[in-house]
Amino acid sequence: MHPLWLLVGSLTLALIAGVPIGFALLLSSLLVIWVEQLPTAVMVQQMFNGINAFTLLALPFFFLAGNVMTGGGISERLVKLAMALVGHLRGGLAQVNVVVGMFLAGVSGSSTADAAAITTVFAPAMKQRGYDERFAVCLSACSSTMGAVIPPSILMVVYGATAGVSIGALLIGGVLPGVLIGLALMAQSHVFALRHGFPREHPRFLGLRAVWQGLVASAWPMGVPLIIVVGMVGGVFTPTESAAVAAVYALFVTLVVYRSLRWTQLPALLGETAVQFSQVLFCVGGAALWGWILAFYQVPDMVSEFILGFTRDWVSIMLLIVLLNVLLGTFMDAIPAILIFVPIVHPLAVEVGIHPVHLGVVVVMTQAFGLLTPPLGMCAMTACAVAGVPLTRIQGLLHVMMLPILLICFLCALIPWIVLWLPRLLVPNWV
Amino acid sequence: MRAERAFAVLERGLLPLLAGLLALITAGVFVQVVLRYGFAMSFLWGEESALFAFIWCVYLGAAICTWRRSHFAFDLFAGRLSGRAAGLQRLVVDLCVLLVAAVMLVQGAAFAELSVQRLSPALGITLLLPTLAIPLSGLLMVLATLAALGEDLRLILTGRAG
Repeated sequence: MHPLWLLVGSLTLALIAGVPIGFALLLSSLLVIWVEQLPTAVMVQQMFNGINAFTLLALPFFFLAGNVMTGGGISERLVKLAMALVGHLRGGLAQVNVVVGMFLAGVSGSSTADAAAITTVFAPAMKQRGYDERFAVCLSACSSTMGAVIPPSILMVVYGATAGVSIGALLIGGVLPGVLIGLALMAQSHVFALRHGFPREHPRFLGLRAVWQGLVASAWPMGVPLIIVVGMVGGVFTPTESAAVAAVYALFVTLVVYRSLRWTQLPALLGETAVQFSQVLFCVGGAALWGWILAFYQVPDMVSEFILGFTRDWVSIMLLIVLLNVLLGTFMDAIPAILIFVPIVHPLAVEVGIHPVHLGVVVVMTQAFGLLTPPLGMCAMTACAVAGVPLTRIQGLLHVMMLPILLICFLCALIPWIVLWLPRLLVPNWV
Repeated sequence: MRAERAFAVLERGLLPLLAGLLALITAGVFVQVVLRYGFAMSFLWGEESALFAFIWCVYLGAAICTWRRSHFAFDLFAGRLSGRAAGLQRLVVDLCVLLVAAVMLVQGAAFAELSVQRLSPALGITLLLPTLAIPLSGLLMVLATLAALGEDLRLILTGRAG
């Protein structure tokens, strides 16, 4: 029996039994190590080397900036600007929901945190304005998926570290696709607004003065995406450094400027943030060993050879990867899916000429889409939990409302230009 | 129950430590940037100490997640099993975790021992410092899992949580 069967079989069994993902990855690798009489010391070496990487340090900072900002009631400030921009459209509050989702995505790196923040603000507000509660919850969940695509993004960092792709280029590559998702959701909201007669928030555009006031109100939080993108584009910071500066900036804004976070709350916030990212990085450590075993048995080569026997057409391979990712995203959380899946498909995609940054952004987008699909859609579940609506009540509508996001995923998969244009323009050295 | 209280006390000690480590990580990288642009100084040990603090954060945090049972997992059986069946499922999970944690402890200790002589490139301190995080985390996980195994067995035998 090829050790690969033992590796995949034991991992699947352990995961089904409910063994935590990090431990399941380590356990299945250990079984292969023991059966094949490889040195057990490899496990600890890989667990150490896997996270001993300066690029991964961006993760704690993105978690910290996001926690500090969303905890400090930032979304309310962003609402003012969004209201001035799109509140006059039909279904104004729905449009504001999407635009705030886009802004918030630029401040926090986690879609689930965004889902909680957006739903908290919009589910009650939209219900009050006569929107169907199911629509409000579904839209909030959909808006939050942009959090994983628009920088800062935790998934992009995990992807870049797993596949060895420039994290800076991935982050910048996510900007345009993220905005496209937002526009698609706005178009969809418009259609819903026409059909259901959703109200406008103001009879007409409030004018540039209102937009200016909104900009002033949200200037401080919007500094976060500015620091990250401009810092990287200007060649001033590495992605990790820009994340650190953004985290310190976020602390400064909430502690000193807004005083929405008290100094006494800081230790608890820091401690819980550390526990939160250790959850992710323990899996990264386990995946480092799992990836080492895969590479040891040249599994990626085997998979590549097998699939390339059928086709060498990049479009077919890309579509295959997207479909597989959607399927995987349905049953798995995004981070483990990336950790397990990417070492296998990355060499295959590069072999047929798909650009690593293009692949990375598309995989992250499809995994962000997977955050909506039951049974394991973290964003949908978070939105439901916050709004106090059972998942079964919104499922039907959600399946319809998430289609525009899938459409954008396919669009970005088939037109590399959408992903690659901005990084090639702004950070040509990284692409 | 006594074990649960012991871990709660341990956590109250560990959380401020984690907070301190995260503050150190942030300060390390931030100060490096400030010194580079403000004073044209290179400050490589800021990066290295941040990385060491990060490794400690990750493995201590992972130990906390073990007794909190908050590691990422597929909750295929969550809420669907009750009494003895739930106990059996948890027993299987905890035995798997125990095995991995024990290897972390034993092999991690050997790895840390080998690292005593190796020095870090920037700070020039022994690599024992960062590598010690893994066996210590393994030890905490072993203890937490042993305590959990007792609970699992009680659940299997009596069908009720203790």
